[in-house]
Amino acid sequence: MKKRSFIRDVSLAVLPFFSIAIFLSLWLWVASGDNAIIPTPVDVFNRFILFLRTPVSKTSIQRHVWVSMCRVLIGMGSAVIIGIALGALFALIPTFRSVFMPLFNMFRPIPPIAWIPLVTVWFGVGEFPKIFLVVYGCTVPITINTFTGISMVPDEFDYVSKVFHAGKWDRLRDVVFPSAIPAIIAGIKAALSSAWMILLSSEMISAKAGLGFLITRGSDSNDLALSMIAMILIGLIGSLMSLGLTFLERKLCPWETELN
Amino acid sequence: MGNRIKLSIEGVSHYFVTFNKKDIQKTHVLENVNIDVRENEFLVLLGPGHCGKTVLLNLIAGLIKPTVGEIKLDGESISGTDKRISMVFQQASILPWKTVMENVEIAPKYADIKREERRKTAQYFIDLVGLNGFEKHYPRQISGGMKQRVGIARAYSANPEILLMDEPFGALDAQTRYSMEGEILKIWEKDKRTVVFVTNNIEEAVTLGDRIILFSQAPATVKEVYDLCGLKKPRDNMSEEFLKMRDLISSNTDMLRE
Repeated sequence: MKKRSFIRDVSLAVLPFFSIAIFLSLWLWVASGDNAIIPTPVDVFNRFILFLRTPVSKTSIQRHVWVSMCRVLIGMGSAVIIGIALGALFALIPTFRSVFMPLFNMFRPIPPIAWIPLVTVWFGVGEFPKIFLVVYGCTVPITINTFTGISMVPDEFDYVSKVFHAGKWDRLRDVVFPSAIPAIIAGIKAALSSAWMILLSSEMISAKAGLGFLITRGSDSNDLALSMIAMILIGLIGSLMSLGLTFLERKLCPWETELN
Repeated sequence: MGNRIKLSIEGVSHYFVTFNKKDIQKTHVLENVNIDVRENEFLVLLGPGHCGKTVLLNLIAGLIKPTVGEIKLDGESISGTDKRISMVFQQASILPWKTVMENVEIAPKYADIKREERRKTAQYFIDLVGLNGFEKHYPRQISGGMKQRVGIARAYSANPEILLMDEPFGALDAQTRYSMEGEILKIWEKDKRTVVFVTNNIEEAVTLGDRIILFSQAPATVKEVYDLCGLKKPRDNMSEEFLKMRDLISSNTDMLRE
Protein backbone atom coordinates (compact mmCIF):
# COMPACT_ATOMS: atom_id res chain seq x y z
CA MET A 1 0.00 0.00 0.00
CA LYS A 2 2.71 2.43 1.02
CA LYS A 3 4.72 1.80 -2.11
CA ARG A 4 1.72 2.38 -4.30
CA SER A 5 0.88 5.71 -2.70
CA PHE A 6 4.52 6.73 -3.10
CA ILE A 7 4.32 6.05 -6.82
CA ARG A 8 1.06 7.95 -6.93
CA ASP A 9 2.57 10.96 -5.16
CA VAL A 10 5.54 11.05 -7.50
CA SER A 11 3.41 10.76 -10.58
CA LEU A 12 1.10 13.50 -9.37
CA ALA A 13 4.13 15.72 -8.87
CA VAL A 14 5.60 14.90 -12.30
CA LEU A 15 2.41 15.10 -14.36
CA PRO A 16 2.25 18.92 -14.57
CA PHE A 17 5.74 19.00 -16.12
CA PHE A 18 4.64 16.28 -18.47
CA SER A 19 1.67 18.31 -19.73
CA ILE A 20 3.86 21.40 -20.11
CA ALA A 21 6.36 19.35 -22.11
CA ILE A 22 3.61 18.09 -24.41
CA PHE A 23 2.35 21.63 -24.86
CA LEU A 24 5.87 22.85 -25.74
CA SER A 25 6.42 20.09 -28.28
CA LEU A 26 3.04 20.78 -29.90
CA TRP A 27 4.01 24.42 -30.11
CA LEU A 28 7.39 23.48 -31.61
CA TRP A 29 5.65 21.24 -34.14
CA VAL A 30 3.17 23.91 -35.20
CA ALA A 31 5.86 26.62 -35.37
CA SER A 32 8.58 24.75 -37.21
CA GLY A 33 6.91 23.84 -40.50
CA ASP A 34 8.39 25.25 -43.70
CA ASN A 35 5.95 28.13 -44.06
CA ALA A 36 5.22 28.48 -40.35
CA ILE A 37 4.57 32.04 -39.28
CA ILE A 38 4.72 31.88 -35.50
CA PRO A 39 7.96 31.88 -33.49
CA THR A 40 9.20 28.63 -31.96
CA PRO A 41 9.76 28.25 -28.21
CA VAL A 42 13.48 28.63 -28.93
CA ASP A 43 12.88 31.92 -30.77
CA VAL A 44 10.86 33.19 -27.86
CA PHE A 45 13.52 32.12 -25.39
CA ASN A 46 16.26 33.84 -27.38
CA ARG A 47 14.15 36.97 -27.66
CA PHE A 48 13.69 36.82 -23.90
CA ILE A 49 17.46 36.69 -23.31
CA LEU A 50 17.89 39.62 -25.69
CA PHE A 51 15.16 41.53 -23.87
CA LEU A 52 16.97 41.06 -20.59
CA ARG A 53 19.95 42.90 -22.10
CA THR A 54 18.28 45.39 -24.43
CA PRO A 55 15.31 47.44 -23.22
CA VAL A 56 12.21 47.92 -25.39
CA SER A 57 11.07 51.53 -25.68
CA LYS A 58 13.82 52.53 -23.25
CA THR A 59 12.24 50.36 -20.59
CA SER A 60 13.68 47.16 -19.11
CA ILE A 61 11.64 43.98 -18.93
CA GLN A 62 11.48 44.19 -15.13
CA ARG A 63 10.12 47.69 -15.44
CA HIS A 64 7.42 46.61 -17.91
CA VAL A 65 6.30 43.84 -15.56
CA TRP A 66 6.44 46.13 -12.55
CA VAL A 67 4.34 48.83 -14.22
CA SER A 68 1.55 46.38 -15.11
CA MET A 69 1.68 44.64 -11.73
CA CYS A 70 1.34 47.97 -9.93
CA ARG A 71 -1.71 48.89 -11.99
CA VAL A 72 -3.37 45.53 -11.31
CA LEU A 73 -2.51 45.47 -7.59
CA ILE A 74 -3.52 49.06 -6.88
CA GLY A 75 -6.68 48.62 -8.93
CA MET A 76 -7.56 45.29 -7.30
CA GLY A 77 -6.77 46.57 -3.80
CA SER A 78 -9.08 49.55 -4.22
CA ALA A 79 -11.75 47.37 -5.81
CA VAL A 80 -11.63 44.93 -2.88
CA ILE A 81 -12.16 47.74 -0.37
CA ILE A 82 -14.87 49.50 -2.39
CA GLY A 83 -16.58 46.26 -3.44
CA ILE A 84 -16.82 44.79 0.06
CA ALA A 85 -18.01 48.10 1.51
CA LEU A 86 -20.59 48.59 -1.24
CA GLY A 87 -21.83 44.99 -1.05
CA ALA A 88 -22.13 45.18 2.73
CA LEU A 89 -24.02 48.47 2.55
CA PHE A 90 -26.40 47.04 -0.05
CA ALA A 91 -27.03 43.98 2.07
CA LEU A 92 -27.32 45.64 5.47
CA ILE A 93 -28.98 49.01 4.83
CA PRO A 94 -32.29 48.77 2.92
CA THR A 95 -32.46 52.54 2.30
CA PHE A 96 -29.00 52.52 0.76
CA ARG A 97 -29.98 49.55 -1.35
CA SER A 98 -33.14 51.13 -2.72
CA VAL A 99 -31.37 54.40 -3.54
CA PHE A 100 -28.22 53.04 -5.18
CA MET A 101 -28.95 49.51 -6.33
CA PRO A 102 -30.82 50.55 -9.51
CA LEU A 103 -27.95 52.86 -10.44
CA PHE A 104 -25.44 50.10 -9.78
CA ASN A 105 -27.46 47.68 -11.87
CA MET A 106 -27.45 50.10 -14.79
CA PHE A 107 -23.69 50.63 -14.71
CA ARG A 108 -23.00 46.94 -14.20
CA PRO A 109 -23.60 45.67 -17.75
CA ILE A 110 -21.42 48.38 -19.36
CA PRO A 111 -18.07 46.69 -19.99
CA PRO A 112 -15.07 48.65 -18.69
CA ILE A 113 -13.60 48.74 -22.20
CA ALA A 114 -16.62 50.72 -23.37
CA TRP A 115 -15.49 53.48 -21.03
CA ILE A 116 -12.09 53.90 -22.69
CA PRO A 117 -13.08 56.71 -25.10
CA LEU A 118 -14.84 58.70 -22.40
CA VAL A 119 -12.14 58.14 -19.81
CA THR A 120 -9.40 59.09 -22.25
CA VAL A 121 -11.07 62.41 -23.06
CA TRP A 122 -11.63 63.02 -19.40
CA PHE A 123 -8.38 61.96 -17.78
CA GLY A 124 -5.93 61.65 -20.68
CA VAL A 125 -3.59 58.70 -21.01
CA GLY A 126 -1.76 58.69 -17.66
CA GLU A 127 -1.84 56.12 -14.88
CA PHE A 128 -5.13 57.19 -13.38
CA PRO A 129 -7.51 56.24 -16.22
CA LYS A 130 -5.97 52.75 -16.49
CA ILE A 131 -6.23 52.07 -12.78
CA PHE A 132 -9.70 53.61 -12.73
CA LEU A 133 -10.92 51.14 -15.33
CA VAL A 134 -9.49 48.19 -13.39
CA VAL A 135 -11.18 49.44 -10.22
CA TYR A 136 -14.46 49.93 -12.07
CA GLY A 137 -14.40 46.47 -13.62
CA CYS A 138 -13.26 44.61 -10.52
CA THR A 139 -15.62 46.31 -8.09
CA VAL A 140 -18.65 44.79 -9.81
CA PRO A 141 -18.09 41.06 -9.12
CA ILE A 142 -16.79 41.75 -5.61
CA THR A 143 -19.83 43.89 -4.76
CA ILE A 144 -22.28 41.33 -6.09
CA ASN A 145 -20.63 38.42 -4.30
CA THR A 146 -20.35 40.32 -1.02
CA PHE A 147 -23.99 41.31 -1.27
CA THR A 148 -25.12 37.75 -1.98
CA GLY A 149 -22.87 36.25 0.68
CA ILE A 150 -24.09 38.61 3.36
CA SER A 151 -27.78 38.41 2.42
CA MET A 152 -27.81 34.65 2.36
CA VAL A 153 -26.84 33.81 5.91
CA PRO A 154 -28.41 30.38 6.50
CA ASP A 155 -31.50 30.48 8.72
CA GLU A 156 -29.99 28.01 11.16
CA PHE A 157 -27.12 30.38 11.99
CA ASP A 158 -29.53 33.28 12.27
CA TYR A 159 -31.55 31.28 14.80
CA VAL A 160 -28.38 30.60 16.76
CA SER A 161 -27.61 34.31 17.00
CA LYS A 162 -31.17 34.99 18.17
CA VAL A 163 -31.45 32.19 20.72
CA PHE A 164 -28.11 33.12 22.28
CA HIS A 165 -28.85 36.84 22.20
CA ALA A 166 -26.07 38.08 19.95
CA GLY A 167 -25.94 41.86 19.78
CA LYS A 168 -25.94 43.63 16.41
CA TRP A 169 -22.15 43.70 16.18
CA ASP A 170 -21.76 40.20 17.62
CA ARG A 171 -24.00 38.96 14.85
CA LEU A 172 -22.06 40.76 12.10
CA ARG A 173 -18.69 39.64 13.42
CA ASP A 174 -19.49 36.06 14.40
CA VAL A 175 -22.20 35.04 11.96
CA VAL A 176 -22.72 37.33 8.98
CA PHE A 177 -19.19 38.09 7.78
CA PRO A 178 -17.65 34.66 8.36
CA SER A 179 -20.44 33.01 6.41
CA ALA A 180 -19.88 35.49 3.58
CA ILE A 181 -16.09 35.10 3.30
CA PRO A 182 -16.06 32.20 0.79
CA ALA A 183 -18.42 34.10 -1.52
CA ILE A 184 -16.34 37.28 -1.18
CA ILE A 185 -13.14 35.44 -2.05
CA ALA A 186 -14.81 33.82 -5.05
CA GLY A 187 -15.74 37.35 -6.16
CA ILE A 188 -12.13 38.52 -5.77
CA LYS A 189 -10.90 35.57 -7.82
CA ALA A 190 -13.34 36.38 -10.61
CA ALA A 191 -12.27 40.03 -10.39
CA LEU A 192 -8.59 39.11 -10.71
CA SER A 193 -8.98 37.59 -14.14
CA SER A 194 -11.04 40.49 -15.38
CA ALA A 195 -8.43 42.86 -13.93
CA TRP A 196 -5.83 41.55 -16.38
CA MET A 197 -8.29 41.66 -19.25
CA ILE A 198 -9.22 45.27 -18.59
CA LEU A 199 -5.66 46.37 -17.99
CA LEU A 200 -4.41 44.74 -21.17
CA SER A 201 -7.06 46.40 -23.28
CA SER A 202 -6.33 49.83 -21.90
CA GLU A 203 -2.56 49.31 -22.18
CA MET A 204 -2.89 48.14 -25.76
CA ILE A 205 -4.74 51.30 -26.66
CA SER A 206 -2.63 53.84 -24.84
CA ALA A 207 0.50 53.15 -22.84
CA LYS A 208 4.23 53.71 -22.94
CA ALA A 209 5.08 50.69 -20.82
CA GLY A 210 3.53 47.51 -19.48
CA LEU A 211 2.74 44.04 -20.74
CA GLY A 212 -0.20 45.17 -22.87
CA PHE A 213 2.07 47.74 -24.49
CA LEU A 214 4.59 44.98 -25.29
CA ILE A 215 1.91 42.97 -27.09
CA THR A 216 0.97 45.91 -29.29
CA ARG A 217 4.61 46.81 -29.85
CA GLY A 218 5.41 43.24 -30.91
CA SER A 219 2.52 43.27 -33.34
CA ASP A 220 3.41 46.69 -34.77
CA SER A 221 7.11 45.91 -35.28
CA ASN A 222 6.62 42.40 -36.61
CA ASP A 223 8.23 41.00 -33.45
CA LEU A 224 5.71 38.28 -32.50
CA ALA A 225 8.18 36.71 -30.06
CA LEU A 226 7.96 39.89 -28.01
CA SER A 227 4.15 39.65 -27.87
CA MET A 228 4.44 36.05 -26.81
CA ILE A 229 6.87 36.88 -24.03
CA ALA A 230 4.27 39.30 -22.68
CA MET A 231 1.56 36.64 -22.97
CA ILE A 232 3.63 34.08 -21.08
CA LEU A 233 4.48 36.60 -18.37
CA ILE A 234 0.80 37.47 -17.90
CA GLY A 235 -0.03 33.77 -17.63
CA LEU A 236 2.67 33.21 -15.03
CA ILE A 237 1.94 36.29 -12.94
CA GLY A 238 -1.82 35.75 -13.13
CA SER A 239 -1.61 32.15 -11.96
CA LEU A 240 0.81 33.11 -9.17
CA MET A 241 -1.64 35.77 -8.00
CA SER A 242 -4.56 33.37 -7.90
CA LEU A 243 -2.36 30.89 -6.04
CA GLY A 244 -1.69 33.71 -3.57
CA LEU A 245 -5.44 34.22 -3.21
CA THR A 246 -5.97 30.54 -2.46
CA PHE A 247 -3.29 30.79 0.18
CA LEU A 248 -4.98 33.88 1.63
CA GLU A 249 -8.29 32.02 1.71
CA ARG A 250 -6.70 29.27 3.76
CA LYS A 251 -5.27 31.82 6.18
CA LEU A 252 -8.61 33.62 6.47
CA CYS A 253 -10.72 30.48 6.74
CA PRO A 254 -8.73 28.02 8.86
CA TRP A 255 -11.96 26.16 9.58
CA GLU A 256 -12.16 24.98 5.99
CA THR A 257 -8.83 23.21 5.96
CA GLU A 258 -8.13 20.08 7.88
CA LEU A 259 -5.21 19.88 10.24
CA ASN A 260 -2.49 17.38 9.32
CA MET B 1 -40.24 15.89 41.10
CA GLY B 2 -41.90 19.20 41.78
CA ASN B 3 -45.29 19.71 40.25
CA ARG B 4 -44.88 23.44 39.86
CA ILE B 5 -45.79 24.61 36.37
CA LYS B 6 -42.73 26.14 34.75
CA LEU B 7 -43.94 26.82 31.27
CA SER B 8 -47.43 26.86 29.89
CA ILE B 9 -48.60 26.87 26.33
CA GLU B 10 -52.11 28.26 26.29
CA GLY B 11 -54.47 27.89 23.37
CA VAL B 12 -51.74 28.14 20.76
CA SER B 13 -52.74 27.86 17.12
CA HIS B 14 -50.46 28.67 14.25
CA TYR B 15 -50.75 28.85 10.52
CA PHE B 16 -48.47 29.91 7.73
CA VAL B 17 -49.82 31.97 4.88
CA THR B 18 -48.49 31.17 1.45
CA PHE B 19 -49.35 32.75 -1.86
CA ASN B 20 -49.96 30.28 -4.61
CA LYS B 21 -50.60 32.04 -7.91
CA LYS B 22 -54.01 33.57 -7.28
CA ASP B 23 -54.95 31.92 -4.03
CA ILE B 24 -53.88 32.76 -0.57
CA GLN B 25 -53.28 29.47 1.14
CA LYS B 26 -53.43 29.02 4.85
CA THR B 27 -51.50 26.07 6.18
CA HIS B 28 -52.63 25.08 9.61
CA VAL B 29 -49.69 23.85 11.61
CA LEU B 30 -50.91 23.87 15.20
CA GLU B 31 -54.49 23.72 16.42
CA ASN B 32 -55.39 24.84 19.93
CA VAL B 33 -52.42 23.34 21.75
CA ASN B 34 -52.44 23.48 25.55
CA ILE B 35 -49.49 22.07 27.44
CA ASP B 36 -48.19 22.61 30.95
CA VAL B 37 -44.53 21.85 31.43
CA ARG B 38 -43.55 21.03 35.00
CA GLU B 39 -40.38 22.30 36.59
CA ASN B 40 -37.35 20.07 35.98
CA GLU B 41 -39.28 17.45 34.10
CA PHE B 42 -38.08 15.78 30.92
CA LEU B 43 -41.03 16.34 28.61
CA VAL B 44 -41.10 14.66 25.21
CA LEU B 45 -43.18 15.95 22.33
CA LEU B 46 -43.81 13.00 20.05
CA GLY B 47 -45.44 13.17 16.67
CA PRO B 48 -45.21 12.16 13.04
CA GLY B 49 -42.75 13.96 10.76
CA HIS B 50 -43.75 17.45 9.64
CA CYS B 51 -46.62 17.59 12.11
CA GLY B 52 -45.59 20.93 13.56
CA LYS B 53 -43.50 19.91 16.58
CA THR B 54 -40.54 21.97 15.42
CA VAL B 55 -42.81 24.95 14.86
CA LEU B 56 -44.08 24.61 18.42
CA LEU B 57 -40.51 24.54 19.70
CA ASN B 58 -39.59 27.60 17.63
CA LEU B 59 -42.64 29.34 19.10
CA ILE B 60 -41.49 28.57 22.64
CA ALA B 61 -37.98 29.74 21.75
CA GLY B 62 -39.49 33.00 20.51
CA LEU B 63 -38.09 32.62 17.00
CA ILE B 64 -41.59 32.96 15.57
CA LYS B 65 -44.81 34.38 17.02
CA PRO B 66 -47.95 32.28 17.38
CA THR B 67 -50.95 33.32 15.33
CA VAL B 68 -53.22 32.73 18.33
CA GLY B 69 -52.47 31.98 21.96
CA GLU B 70 -49.92 32.66 24.61
CA ILE B 71 -46.78 31.16 26.06
CA LYS B 72 -46.15 31.80 29.72
CA LEU B 73 -42.95 31.32 31.64
CA ASP B 74 -43.35 31.29 35.42
CA GLY B 75 -46.86 32.60 34.89
CA GLU B 76 -45.78 35.59 32.82
CA SER B 77 -46.44 35.92 29.14
CA ILE B 78 -43.29 36.00 27.00
CA SER B 79 -42.66 37.17 23.47
CA GLY B 80 -39.45 36.99 21.49
CA THR B 81 -36.37 35.12 22.61
CA ASP B 82 -35.76 34.89 26.33
CA LYS B 83 -32.51 34.44 28.21
CA ARG B 84 -34.08 31.76 30.38
CA ILE B 85 -34.74 29.55 27.36
CA SER B 86 -32.01 27.85 25.37
CA MET B 87 -32.09 25.44 22.47
CA VAL B 88 -30.35 22.47 20.88
CA PHE B 89 -31.01 22.51 17.14
CA GLN B 90 -31.87 19.71 14.78
CA GLN B 91 -28.83 20.19 12.55
CA ALA B 92 -26.47 20.97 15.46
CA SER B 93 -26.09 24.42 13.84
CA ILE B 94 -22.70 25.03 15.32
CA LEU B 95 -20.69 27.77 13.66
CA PRO B 96 -18.13 26.14 11.33
CA TRP B 97 -15.66 29.03 11.70
CA LYS B 98 -15.44 28.72 15.45
CA THR B 99 -13.66 26.09 17.48
CA VAL B 100 -15.53 23.85 19.91
CA MET B 101 -14.62 26.16 22.79
CA GLU B 102 -15.61 29.32 20.90
CA ASN B 103 -18.93 27.74 19.97
CA VAL B 104 -19.77 26.66 23.49
CA GLU B 105 -18.90 30.02 25.05
CA ILE B 106 -21.05 32.22 22.79
CA ALA B 107 -24.00 32.62 25.14
CA PRO B 108 -21.94 33.95 28.09
CA LYS B 109 -19.81 35.93 25.63
CA TYR B 110 -22.87 37.74 24.27
CA ALA B 111 -23.97 38.34 27.86
CA ASP B 112 -20.67 40.26 28.28
CA ILE B 113 -19.23 37.84 30.80
CA LYS B 114 -15.46 38.15 31.18
CA ARG B 115 -13.37 35.77 29.11
CA GLU B 116 -11.84 33.91 32.04
CA GLU B 117 -15.15 33.32 33.72
CA ARG B 118 -17.05 32.26 30.61
CA ARG B 119 -14.24 29.90 29.60
CA LYS B 120 -14.64 28.23 32.98
CA THR B 121 -18.37 27.78 32.41
CA ALA B 122 -17.83 26.52 28.88
CA GLN B 123 -15.11 24.12 30.03
CA TYR B 124 -17.43 22.66 32.66
CA PHE B 125 -20.04 21.79 30.06
CA ILE B 126 -17.47 20.62 27.51
CA ASP B 127 -16.24 18.18 30.14
CA LEU B 128 -19.81 17.25 31.00
CA VAL B 129 -20.62 16.22 27.43
CA GLY B 130 -17.31 14.36 27.18
CA LEU B 131 -15.48 16.60 24.72
CA ASN B 132 -12.48 17.24 26.91
CA GLY B 133 -9.43 17.57 24.66
CA PHE B 134 -11.38 18.74 21.61
CA GLU B 135 -11.67 22.40 22.66
CA LYS B 136 -9.49 23.68 19.82
CA HIS B 137 -10.99 21.51 17.09
CA TYR B 138 -13.08 23.00 14.34
CA PRO B 139 -16.51 21.40 13.67
CA ARG B 140 -15.19 19.91 10.42
CA GLN B 141 -12.72 17.87 12.38
CA ILE B 142 -15.25 16.14 14.63
CA SER B 143 -18.02 13.61 14.03
CA GLY B 144 -21.75 14.24 13.81
CA GLY B 145 -22.34 12.89 17.31
CA MET B 146 -19.65 15.18 18.70
CA LYS B 147 -21.19 18.16 16.95
CA GLN B 148 -24.48 17.42 18.72
CA ARG B 149 -22.58 17.30 22.01
CA VAL B 150 -21.19 20.76 21.21
CA GLY B 151 -24.76 21.91 20.58
CA ILE B 152 -25.83 20.50 23.94
CA ALA B 153 -22.89 22.07 25.80
CA ARG B 154 -23.60 25.38 24.11
CA ALA B 155 -27.24 25.30 25.15
CA TYR B 156 -26.27 24.49 28.76
CA SER B 157 -23.63 27.27 28.84
CA ALA B 158 -26.40 29.81 28.43
CA ASN B 159 -27.42 28.65 31.90
CA PRO B 160 -31.09 28.40 30.93
CA GLU B 161 -34.03 27.34 33.05
CA ILE B 162 -35.60 25.61 30.08
CA LEU B 163 -33.79 23.58 27.43
CA LEU B 164 -35.51 22.97 24.13
CA MET B 165 -34.20 20.08 22.06
CA ASP B 166 -35.35 19.73 18.48
CA GLU B 167 -34.76 16.15 17.31
CA PRO B 168 -31.13 16.53 18.28
CA PHE B 169 -30.28 12.93 17.42
CA GLY B 170 -32.39 12.67 14.28
CA ALA B 171 -29.43 12.84 11.93
CA LEU B 172 -27.27 10.35 13.81
CA ASP B 173 -26.79 6.67 13.09
CA ALA B 174 -28.59 4.21 15.38
CA GLN B 175 -25.51 3.27 17.41
CA THR B 176 -24.52 6.88 18.14
CA ARG B 177 -28.14 7.69 18.82
CA TYR B 178 -28.43 5.08 21.59
CA SER B 179 -25.30 6.25 23.29
CA MET B 180 -26.32 9.91 23.00
CA GLU B 181 -29.69 9.11 24.59
CA GLY B 182 -27.82 7.58 27.51
CA GLU B 183 -25.54 10.61 27.71
CA ILE B 184 -28.34 13.14 27.69
CA LEU B 185 -30.07 11.35 30.56
CA LYS B 186 -26.85 11.29 32.57
CA ILE B 187 -26.30 15.00 31.97
CA TRP B 188 -29.88 15.78 32.88
CA GLU B 189 -29.58 13.77 36.13
CA LYS B 190 -26.40 15.68 37.03
CA ASP B 191 -27.68 19.11 36.12
CA LYS B 192 -31.46 19.18 36.32
CA ARG B 193 -33.31 21.61 34.12
CA THR B 194 -36.70 21.66 32.50
CA VAL B 195 -36.30 19.90 29.15
CA VAL B 196 -38.71 19.92 26.23
CA PHE B 197 -37.51 17.29 23.78
CA VAL B 198 -38.98 16.82 20.32
CA THR B 199 -38.75 13.51 18.48
CA ASN B 200 -40.59 11.35 15.98
CA ASN B 201 -39.09 8.16 17.37
CA ILE B 202 -41.32 6.27 19.83
CA GLU B 203 -38.49 4.27 21.33
CA GLU B 204 -36.49 7.43 21.98
CA ALA B 205 -39.54 9.05 23.56
CA VAL B 206 -40.10 6.11 25.92
CA THR B 207 -36.40 5.99 26.80
CA LEU B 208 -36.21 9.65 27.77
CA GLY B 209 -39.57 11.07 28.77
CA ASP B 210 -41.02 11.66 32.23
CA ARG B 211 -44.12 12.48 30.26
CA ILE B 212 -44.85 12.08 26.59
CA ILE B 213 -47.21 14.35 24.69
CA LEU B 214 -48.45 12.63 21.58
CA PHE B 215 -49.40 14.83 18.63
CA SER B 216 -51.72 14.07 15.77
CA GLN B 217 -50.91 14.55 12.10
CA ALA B 218 -50.85 18.19 10.93
CA PRO B 219 -52.47 20.42 12.02
CA ALA B 220 -50.98 19.16 15.25
CA THR B 221 -53.25 18.80 18.22
CA VAL B 222 -52.51 17.10 21.52
CA LYS B 223 -53.80 13.59 21.09
CA GLU B 224 -52.76 11.97 24.33
CA VAL B 225 -50.54 12.57 27.34
CA TYR B 226 -48.62 9.62 28.82
CA ASP B 227 -47.16 9.75 32.31
CA LEU B 228 -44.04 7.62 32.58
CA CYS B 229 -42.84 8.79 35.99
CA GLY B 230 -43.43 5.25 37.25
CA LEU B 231 -40.76 3.84 34.96
CA LYS B 232 -37.36 4.25 36.59
CA LYS B 233 -34.50 5.61 34.52
CA PRO B 234 -32.28 4.40 32.98
CA ARG B 235 -34.87 2.22 31.33
CA ASP B 236 -34.24 -1.19 29.87
CA ASN B 237 -35.69 -1.16 26.40
CA MET B 238 -36.28 -4.93 26.56
CA SER B 239 -38.25 -4.82 29.80
CA GLU B 240 -41.92 -5.68 29.81
CA GLU B 241 -43.16 -2.25 30.95
CA PHE B 242 -41.04 -0.53 28.32
CA LEU B 243 -42.38 -2.66 25.51
CA LYS B 244 -45.92 -2.34 26.79
CA MET B 245 -45.67 1.44 26.83
CA ARG B 246 -44.09 1.47 23.41
CA ASP B 247 -46.88 -0.64 21.94
CA LEU B 248 -49.54 1.42 23.69
CA ILE B 249 -48.24 4.61 22.12
CA SER B 250 -47.51 2.99 18.82
CA SER B 251 -51.08 1.74 18.43
CA ASN B 252 -52.34 5.27 19.03
CA THR B 253 -50.16 7.19 16.59
CA ASP B 254 -50.88 8.53 13.15
CA MET B 255 -47.35 7.57 12.16
CA LEU B 256 -46.47 4.97 9.67
CA ARG B 257 -44.78 2.10 11.44
CA GLU B 258 -41.09 2.13 10.84
